[in-house]
Amino acid sequence: MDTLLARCAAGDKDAFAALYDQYANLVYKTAVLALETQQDAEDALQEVFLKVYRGLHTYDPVRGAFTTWLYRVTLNHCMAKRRRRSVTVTPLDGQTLSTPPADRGLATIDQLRRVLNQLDDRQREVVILRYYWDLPYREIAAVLEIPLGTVQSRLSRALQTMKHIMEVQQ
Amino acid sequence: MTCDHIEPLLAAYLDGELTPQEEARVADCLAQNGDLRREAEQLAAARDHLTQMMTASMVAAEAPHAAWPGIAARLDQTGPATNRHNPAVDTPRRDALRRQPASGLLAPLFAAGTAALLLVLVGLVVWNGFAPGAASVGAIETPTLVPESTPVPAPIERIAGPSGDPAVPAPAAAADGPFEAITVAFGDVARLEGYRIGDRLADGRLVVDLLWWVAGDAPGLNEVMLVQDADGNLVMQFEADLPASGPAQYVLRTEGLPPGDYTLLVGVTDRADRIPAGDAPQAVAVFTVDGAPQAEELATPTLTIDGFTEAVLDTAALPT
Repeated sequence: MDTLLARCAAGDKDAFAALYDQYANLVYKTAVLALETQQDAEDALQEVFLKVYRGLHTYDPVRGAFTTWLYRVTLNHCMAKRRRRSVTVTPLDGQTLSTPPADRGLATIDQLRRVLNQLDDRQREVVILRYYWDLPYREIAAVLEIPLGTVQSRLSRALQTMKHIMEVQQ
Repeated sequence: MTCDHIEPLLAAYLDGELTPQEEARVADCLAQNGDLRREAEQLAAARDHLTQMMTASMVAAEAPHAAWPGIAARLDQTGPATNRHNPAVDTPRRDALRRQPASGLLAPLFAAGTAALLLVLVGLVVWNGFAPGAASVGAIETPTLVPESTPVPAPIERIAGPSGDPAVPAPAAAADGPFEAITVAFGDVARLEGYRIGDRLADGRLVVDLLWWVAGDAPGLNEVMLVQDADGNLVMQFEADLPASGPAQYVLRTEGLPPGDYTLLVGVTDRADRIPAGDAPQAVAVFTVDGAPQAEELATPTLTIDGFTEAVLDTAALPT
């Protein structure tokens, strides 16, 4: 991995293509969960990899794994985009939470986004990292550069919000 | 044992992310408090539902294969931020950009100036000791930014501009005259369209004006100004919110710099992750420092504290 990153940092485009193959889904899926539309996520995929290409020299292996840095760059990009768009929170309808998860595909992604939109951006970040990517709390703290206790409290608040949504639906 | 403030720990408890001591404490509280136990059960149900929704809805989400050609094409228009340089400064045009200081401006220094100069010199030595980018990186390669957490002196200030503080008066001899036209684009969010460098003032200050164009929807960005010496060492660094479109004025405190040529680089970075927007910081101009400003008549610096203690700084013992 270190060799691949070194080749990328030196401007080796073949190495960067290999890096893209390896991590495109990490960036894309994070963006799908963090942003509002499929198009936004596809744009973010491009923009984040261009940022990585330009900014790979700022990654310091001593400070953490490459994926930790990549999650950070991706979420920073997505949250900056959300701030620019000032996303409007749409109230949930009665079907959003009761739709069986087995009904897979884009429709459920839209439903999921409407649920996630009930969280503030900080809660949304920790929820994505924990409950989708299953990162340990310590790594979430490293990605977001926040204390471990802040990760704990943000996730607890996020679950309380989710609990409230479920109560309203019932 | 107290169960106050236990709620922030519930998610971590449910996720098995507490220390054994914390886990035992939460478990005791749950055993004693039925309401808290019900709360934890509901949070666990909410977590499970959320996890299930996320997993199910993301099954079909795969990075589109069609995205790579577009990215690859854009790589050709940019480049990794390391080992980049601005040919405009690496070629004979460098001479055209060079600014010579006006020797007549080496006028008398203020009485306290000597002490301030020494402080800046000491500050620069300390700063360079902390700065990983201070190592030689080549004449006009892009230096690594000093981490934000590193305490650094502020040898560059933005004193006026669309987002500057209008209450701060400009130096006595601000840069004037027309801007030197230049076009340096930072992605599609900002562009540097001109610059002008004033004469170096008697106290070592150097006034620089930049003419910015900034997209209206570009929050979360910083401007970065760097100064490298002729060996490529980073000697000054300035970061602040990107100003709005229009002229912005800066003061570079050059009094601590040894004589020589210095390259001014300007860039735009994302405030959160400090990755350059568009190209890495670009060399904009070269200016010359021909020696620390000298006072024609130096007064002995005197320090008075609360009217009781008076100390005289013996500058004769200091290295020249």
